[in-house]
Amino acid sequence: MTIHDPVRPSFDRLPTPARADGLLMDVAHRVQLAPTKHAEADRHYHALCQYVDRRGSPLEGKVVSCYPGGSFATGTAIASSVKNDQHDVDVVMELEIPPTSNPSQTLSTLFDAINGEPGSRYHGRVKLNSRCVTVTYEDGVRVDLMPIARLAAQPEKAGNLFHWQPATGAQFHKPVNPWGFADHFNSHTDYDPVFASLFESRGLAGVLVEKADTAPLPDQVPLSEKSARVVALQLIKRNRDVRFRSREGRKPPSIVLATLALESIPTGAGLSSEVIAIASHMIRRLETESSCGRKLALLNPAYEPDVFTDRWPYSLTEQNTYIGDLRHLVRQLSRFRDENASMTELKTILDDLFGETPAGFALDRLLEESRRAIGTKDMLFGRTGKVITGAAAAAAASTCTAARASTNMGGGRLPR
Amino acid sequence: MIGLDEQITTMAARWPTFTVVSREDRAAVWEGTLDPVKRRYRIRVALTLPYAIENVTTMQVQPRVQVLDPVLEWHPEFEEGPVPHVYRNDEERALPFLCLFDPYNGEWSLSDLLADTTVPWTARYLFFYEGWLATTKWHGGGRHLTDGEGTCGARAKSIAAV
Repeated sequence: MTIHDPVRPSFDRLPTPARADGLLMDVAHRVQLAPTKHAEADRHYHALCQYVDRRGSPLEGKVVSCYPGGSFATGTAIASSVKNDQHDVDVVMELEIPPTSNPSQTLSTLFDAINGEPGSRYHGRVKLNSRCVTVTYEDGVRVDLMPIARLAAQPEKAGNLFHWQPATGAQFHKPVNPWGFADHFNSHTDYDPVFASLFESRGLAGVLVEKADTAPLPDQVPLSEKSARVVALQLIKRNRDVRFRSREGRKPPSIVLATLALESIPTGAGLSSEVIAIASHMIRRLETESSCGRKLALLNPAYEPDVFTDRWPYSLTEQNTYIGDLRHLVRQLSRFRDENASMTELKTILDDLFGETPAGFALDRLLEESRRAIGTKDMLFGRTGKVITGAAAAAAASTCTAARASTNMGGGRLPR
Repeated sequence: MIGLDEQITTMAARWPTFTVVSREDRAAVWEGTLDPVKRRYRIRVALTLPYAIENVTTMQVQPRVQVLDPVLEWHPEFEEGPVPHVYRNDEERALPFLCLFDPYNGEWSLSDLLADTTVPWTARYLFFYEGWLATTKWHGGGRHLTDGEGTCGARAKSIAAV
């Protein structure tokens, strides 16, 4: 999904982001889905929906519509495994069945419709979950197909989802409206043309990187780049995924984080400030509940019967654990913004917060950018030898000096 | 060719942490500190002026720059390891000489001020050295001596010919 943008400033008129913000933008670029992967996922789920509706399927003619849900619809999707470029797509499949249909039967029928007979297209790649059916593709894409049935006399696209836990036998219906939430989120996230251009320009920087060939066309702004808030939310989600790598239990759902992020007032002061502001807001909201011995309760702002916190936090302990994670994120980012932090410190903090692959990617890009600045006014030297690059170089131009370029040599010995 | 007095004056004005620790008729040694990112490094810069430039090469007369403290870390497993872009120092292995410019392409000559070239180039080297320590990759660019450009390579031109 893209926004056509006639007012976006050209790259040569953009401000240079602070070092910390530039590094965070590069981390975000690395954890995002490449546009080609996004298009691929789009094709996969459309084909899947047609397959469910095919002649001879147990759900033939029952598929009313299919549309992206969750992070895919709000432009906040990130890779589930950055190293393998693996990502998950949430898709809502509206079926023409009574909203009170038996959950176990509905989910099993959808499973059968996709899994089909041995040798058929998706056979053996399908998994039945408590609320959806997951199809895993060879290219690393995982599509979660959640069936819903429309509720009468409710807002557009509101419906019941079907929950079934075979192990316990528990089954029930839950009113939801993912489409309504995505629409609410997108309409409450202001488009920032300067940020979008800045973010895009880093994606297109002349560095040979893994994703360089899949960058978006200059006249289109992907939804995931439209404001600092959206990108900050992606970084918070990535941090959550890293924290939960070695933990049991359910992660704070993306939809809960997205709702809390919407409550935070945009800072307009750069990406690191935005991440800190959103995380600090989340801490305050969760701490308020914890201090009263309560768990967070969040409703879908577009459809209040849809309770977002029905599965997380399961306990106050889970809630408090995540408060600790967010506090750590804010503390580390505050250290990270120190312009005097060493490269090793920057790398250690990024590794810790966002994982080694995006951290290495971001630092490599910072250093490549610095190499391109050699011999220009974008690399200056202070009186103690401090090397000043990027935005700080422009600010220090009156007190620092440049040096012409030279080539580092190497090998051998110097003659006596 | 710039005289030693002028080199000393400009070094003192531009790099106040550097002081002359040894001075002879045609040679001077400075020591001082540089803080390119966060860590502070103690640096030695030595320059010896030739009596006549006709028979010397830039390779021979280039300033000798060493990082005294903390000494450069050795990482053979890193890109460009064990230490990127240095000339070996067989007498003091821990104190190699930095290779800050290409002596075969006229990037430096005795007509250049150390204050404008050698010292900022050293700071820049250390900036990328810190990046190398953090990422294991050398991002500062550069090239290596080719076979014909050995220590006293046949193709080394005298300064007068450059």
